[in-house]
Amino acid sequence: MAASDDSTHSEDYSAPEHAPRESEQAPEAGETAPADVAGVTGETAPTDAAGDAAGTTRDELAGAAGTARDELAGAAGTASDELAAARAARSASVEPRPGARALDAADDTEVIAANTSPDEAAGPDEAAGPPRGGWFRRARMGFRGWRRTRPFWGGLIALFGGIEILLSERAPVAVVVHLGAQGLAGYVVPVVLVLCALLLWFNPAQRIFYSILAVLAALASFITSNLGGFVLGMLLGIVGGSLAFAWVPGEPPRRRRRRRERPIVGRPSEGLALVVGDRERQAVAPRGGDAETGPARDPEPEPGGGLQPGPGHDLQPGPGGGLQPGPGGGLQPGRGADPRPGRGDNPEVGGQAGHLRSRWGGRPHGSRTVLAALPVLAALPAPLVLAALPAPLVLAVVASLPQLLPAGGPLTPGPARPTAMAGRAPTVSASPSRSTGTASPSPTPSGSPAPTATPSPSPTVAPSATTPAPAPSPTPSTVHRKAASPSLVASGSQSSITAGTVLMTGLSYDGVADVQTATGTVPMLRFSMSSMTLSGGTVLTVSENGHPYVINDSSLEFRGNVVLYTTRISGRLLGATVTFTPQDPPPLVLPTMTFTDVVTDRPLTLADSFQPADLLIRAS
Amino acid sequence: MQFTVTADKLTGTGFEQFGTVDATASGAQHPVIVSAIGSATLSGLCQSVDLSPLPAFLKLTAGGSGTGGASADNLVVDATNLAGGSATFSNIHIGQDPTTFSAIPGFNPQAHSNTPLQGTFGQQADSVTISNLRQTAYATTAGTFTLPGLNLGFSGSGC
Repeated sequence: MAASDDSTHSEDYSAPEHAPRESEQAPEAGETAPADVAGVTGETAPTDAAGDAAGTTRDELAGAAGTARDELAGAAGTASDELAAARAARSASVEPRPGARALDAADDTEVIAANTSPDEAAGPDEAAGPPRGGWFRRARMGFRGWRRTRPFWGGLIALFGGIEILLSERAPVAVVVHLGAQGLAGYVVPVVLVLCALLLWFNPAQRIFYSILAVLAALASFITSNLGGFVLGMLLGIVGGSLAFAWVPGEPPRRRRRRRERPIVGRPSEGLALVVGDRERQAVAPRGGDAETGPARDPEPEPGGGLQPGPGHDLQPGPGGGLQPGPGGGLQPGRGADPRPGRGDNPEVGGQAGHLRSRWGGRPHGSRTVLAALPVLAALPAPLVLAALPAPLVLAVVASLPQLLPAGGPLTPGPARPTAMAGRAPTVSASPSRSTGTASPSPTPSGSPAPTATPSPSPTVAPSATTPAPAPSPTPSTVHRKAASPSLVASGSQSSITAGTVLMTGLSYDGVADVQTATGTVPMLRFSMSSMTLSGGTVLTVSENGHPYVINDSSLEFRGNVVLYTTRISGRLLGATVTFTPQDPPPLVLPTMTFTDVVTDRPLTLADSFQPADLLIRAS
Repeated sequence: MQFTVTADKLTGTGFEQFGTVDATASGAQHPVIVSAIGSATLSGLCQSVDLSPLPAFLKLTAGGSGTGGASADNLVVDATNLAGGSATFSNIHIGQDPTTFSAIPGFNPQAHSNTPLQGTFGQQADSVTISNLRQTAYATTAGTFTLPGLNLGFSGSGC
């Protein structure tokens, strides 16, 4: 025993790749183990365990080797296949018994219970081995397997990128740019990036699509989300998406192994699955797998099978027979199809190996027992369904694009209106009334529908006066929006404020207000804000009686309870020209907005404080 | 005849401003900006008239340092040009119909306009502070004008 142990040790170290072969030989060398191998039935195994504890330990050793082999298979996808195998073999050989059991313990508490009986049989040196190391190892191996079956690092980097962008949205920076509906897009885009990263992990089959989408989202975040989380998140997203795009499953060694194992071992059960479905196969296929192909090709199912009855004797009452096939069945068919039954049926090493492996190889078809009868169909809908999943996301992104350019006016005239504040319907009736000139009190109603009716309340000034006195439309029939404060009577003059830049803070759009003028009410957009700063060639032009009055200022600063009424405000928001009018009000505004090249017509501005710099008023 | 009004600092309560057209005796029409201040204090007030073709200016100064400044009630200035270094208006209304102004109690803007003000553009504020005020005016009227430290004379240079 000790000698064989030692030999296993040394050979494990020296030639880890042969570990499976070692385990194959080990049972033959041992006195009892061969019985296990030969007697695949459950009856012999218990006698072995009862008769000789050494046999049990031997079995465990074999099982450990089998585990090592399993891990080897599990880690097969890696480039450092041999290294992984060496590690696994070492783990099995350095702490042969506890290691093996500890590995078992990773998944099943039942196995932990099984640990105790061999412990008693094998003596105190058992306890010396730290079971935790094995647990961790197993977990690590499992994680490694999981990691290597998907574009893990690409997804991780993209995930970090998305998270970074999201966090940057909350950065306590005073200059965080929020414009229009872009504030929303600023969150949508990084969320899409995060989703892509997660989907790269959990649905790697569609990695090409997700990775491209991730790169696009990362690029889009530059516009929408603080310059892509101040460039960093964007770069992470691009790099991660590119890595994921370049990722391909499997390396040559693993493929070889697969090709060797899969067609021969895995197929029969899959073929059976076609006929009997998953459940039945679980009960039937293993036997066939074990009897026919398992032993011939893969030695480890046998040691595994031999192992289970030993300690598992009391642990698993009935399933001596049903169990044995478990490892073989759990191992090989598991990779092809359904991992779960394999685990449930076989808590032992082999079963676990099967579980590990099935997690490994069986994922694409995973857990689709219903559709297992038609694996092709089963494989098809999965990507389809999952491919359809991101579609709404894309649609959401696309749908947000128009709003992304927060244009109410020329860009999105349609959506702007529906989302407008309530009560804008009356515009319809307002304009007809204006055009027909109903009930115009003093001024002569001009036939032109334009609001620039020339009532010319100034008799002294020549008809040249284009005094666009307010529209004569005091039709009260309209369902009206809020009225401006009654004491406030706006000028009817043609006036406008132009400015290079207008910064509005604490901004809210209050809807369309009916503003009193000398000749009736005029619908005006009403904005209220905490401050409004105009800079860059601020000019207030008033055309009065044919004479322009011009107020030039280097800057105008309104503070405190600023209210701006205007019949029209146009300007550029992030490069897009927008125009808002009572007929075409802003779809939404953000607390802080910056317009450039702004023109505000007929502005009526109220503020607690008004500070023009370099004030210059001219009449000419 | 235009003249120039300057002040180091103007503070006032009750401010109204609107545009109108002044007619001179010759019949010429001049668009002007009418600024009315209910109660104004001007420090370093200076008023000068270019007497060209005479090479001289008629110059009035008042409210120099130490005098507390010139003060005026219902000061109305019809200016073609108004400039200020920095200005602060409180409770401002820009774009209001001048006939509905209320910043100066008892003040009727229409009385200071040859053109109907209804429907025109104006602005009013509860209080105003303008530093380095400079106006080119056609007329100045005031209910009461207190000019401490008054100095009126000819000068080779204007304000």
